[in-house]
Amino acid sequence: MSDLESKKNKIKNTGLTIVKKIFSIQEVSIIIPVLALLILATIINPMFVHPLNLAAIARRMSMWGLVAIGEALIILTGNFDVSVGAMVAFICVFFSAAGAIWQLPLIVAILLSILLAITMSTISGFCIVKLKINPILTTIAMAFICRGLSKALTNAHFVVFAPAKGSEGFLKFGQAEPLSLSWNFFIFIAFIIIFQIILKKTDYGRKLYATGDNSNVARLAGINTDIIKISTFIISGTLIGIASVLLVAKEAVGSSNYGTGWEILAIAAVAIAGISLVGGAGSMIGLLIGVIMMQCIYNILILLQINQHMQSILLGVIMILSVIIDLKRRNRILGSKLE
Amino acid sequence: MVFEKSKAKVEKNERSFLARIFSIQEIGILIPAFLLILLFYFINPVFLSAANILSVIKVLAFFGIIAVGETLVLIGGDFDISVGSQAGLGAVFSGFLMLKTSCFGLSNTPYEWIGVVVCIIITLAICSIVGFLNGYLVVDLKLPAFVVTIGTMWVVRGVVMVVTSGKTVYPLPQSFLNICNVQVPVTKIGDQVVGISMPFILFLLLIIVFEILLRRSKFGRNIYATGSNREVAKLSGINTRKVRYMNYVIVSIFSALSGVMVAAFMKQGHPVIGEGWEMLVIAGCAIGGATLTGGVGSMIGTIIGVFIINIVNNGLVIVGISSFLQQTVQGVIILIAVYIDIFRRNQKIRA
Repeated sequence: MSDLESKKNKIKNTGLTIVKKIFSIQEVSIIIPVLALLILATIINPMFVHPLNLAAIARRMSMWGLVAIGEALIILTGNFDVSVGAMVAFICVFFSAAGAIWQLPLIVAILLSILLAITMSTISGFCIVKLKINPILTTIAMAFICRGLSKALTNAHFVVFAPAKGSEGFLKFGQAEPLSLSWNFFIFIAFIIIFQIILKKTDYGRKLYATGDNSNVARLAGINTDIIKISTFIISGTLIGIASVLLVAKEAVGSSNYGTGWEILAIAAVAIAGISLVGGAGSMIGLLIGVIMMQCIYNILILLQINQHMQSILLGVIMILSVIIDLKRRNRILGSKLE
Repeated sequence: MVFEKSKAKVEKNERSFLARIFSIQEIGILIPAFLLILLFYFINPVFLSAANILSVIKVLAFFGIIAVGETLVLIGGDFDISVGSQAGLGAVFSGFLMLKTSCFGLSNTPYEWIGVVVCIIITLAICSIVGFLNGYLVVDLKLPAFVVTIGTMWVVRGVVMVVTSGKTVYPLPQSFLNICNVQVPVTKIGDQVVGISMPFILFLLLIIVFEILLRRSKFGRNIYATGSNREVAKLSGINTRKVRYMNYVIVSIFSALSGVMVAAFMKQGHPVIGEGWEMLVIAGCAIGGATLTGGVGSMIGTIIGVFIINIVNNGLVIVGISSFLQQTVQGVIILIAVYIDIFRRNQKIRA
């Protein structure tokens, strides 16, 4: 009798713990608000779940999603970069000018652009890690520098990208819509998977987490934290370069206005993803969910025909909210650890 | 023997006097300032003409008034990036209020100025709400000031844009323009009388008042104590929460005031007023010796820092560098300024 009861209890308990375990996986706790948001959006405007709209969301998010991956790695090691949007503008303008004005061969232009992005990003990283200048100040200054350069390069006009002969396929590649998505989307997903594997399975990934969690302890454990931190900036620069080249391939124009607000989208996606804004926790799958969520919010705003200026208010509110969410989550994790 | 000793003593005194002069932080900042002035003067002598100096002073006052508040915030160990947006809010909101209420029905009457003053006071009160909001987020919710004030910067700028739908607010009442554009005449260029503008006089007054308050009053000592070690300050009975809230509200009011002055100067409330100012203000404070970790800084340093920033801005125009590249140069200057700050602090620790 009591045996049976205890068995029953045990089953009940394991059932509960399974539910508890599922909910304690960070990614699941992020998915629930996303689902709620999707349902809400569908109720507000049934057009939201139209396949064409969903495909548009997927295409749009992969643009800045690439940049968000780099931002996530930087934040993972306890730094910050608010210059990514301006850097995208600069690289886009540079790449367009390289193709249209200086008539460089396509491959050279692409490589030069990515190299330039890496250089700019590494300068930020060097100032932050080696010269110990505050990350936000450094990257705001870098944003000034990049926006200024991109405007100076174009006199604040558009630069129409015209590829050299024999490489018209490049624009076709950028504007193609395989499965009514874009190649950009598949590249984004591929990078998410690659970095998820790097973070979870490799030595380098473990070093990233260790550096972000406690830089001093990591250094004492023999990790060269300076190199690790700068390496995240190099990766971020590479991704910014790739994203910019793809953006120009899609739009066929370079403008100094590109990338406005991308840093906020990226940081908010990172915060939603459960990547702690002080470093040391989070995953790429979480980031993917965060990116989807941010793009859905943006899409809903467009469907609701909210005016553009209102959107800047909402971006600001999202920024503040994401910091609050991050803080609450950190407190909760801290609380559960103390228990 | 005794003579030698006293000689050594005198020598030592002299050296320490010299050392003391050079150890005053503000002197150290003046040297690059002079070098910059000389450089621009040699490239283009117009740089030191009376008209140009007066125009530098006029523009400088707008940044300077905000920098006074930002210095307080920095000394108190906090940070505010939303000041530029708040200046925009002040500029647009005051103009909006004067137009919509036609100065509370006093427009085009001899008492118009009363309506104008009331409108300005209401604007400052409204803008101080932003300060309270920043204070609440940073002080009470304990969120990182850097990130959160970027958020409020976007929100406030968005509010400005929504209120005006991106258009300028004009025509502003004549007495408003008269009040804010009063100037002490200095010279005459052609038919135009140019002089020291009202905002600059106000800026100097604020600098003097707050320098005295910081050095001599309990208010100032509390700010320094809060900034250098918050926990210790709290334990010694200082209401650090009140001090930090007050700093945020003061910087909001000063930003709005600066915005109002710019609106009067430009004769219109333009919604992009104040865009990008936050970094120039912070760079000015940092050059002037206010550290970004709190507890250090002075108004005298800030006034020199603001001067340097404006000398560079003006010099770039005089030398003829493209206005787009100026943004880039500003970015570089900010980086150098903040690095100087860190370098100086490291040396002090070593000493």
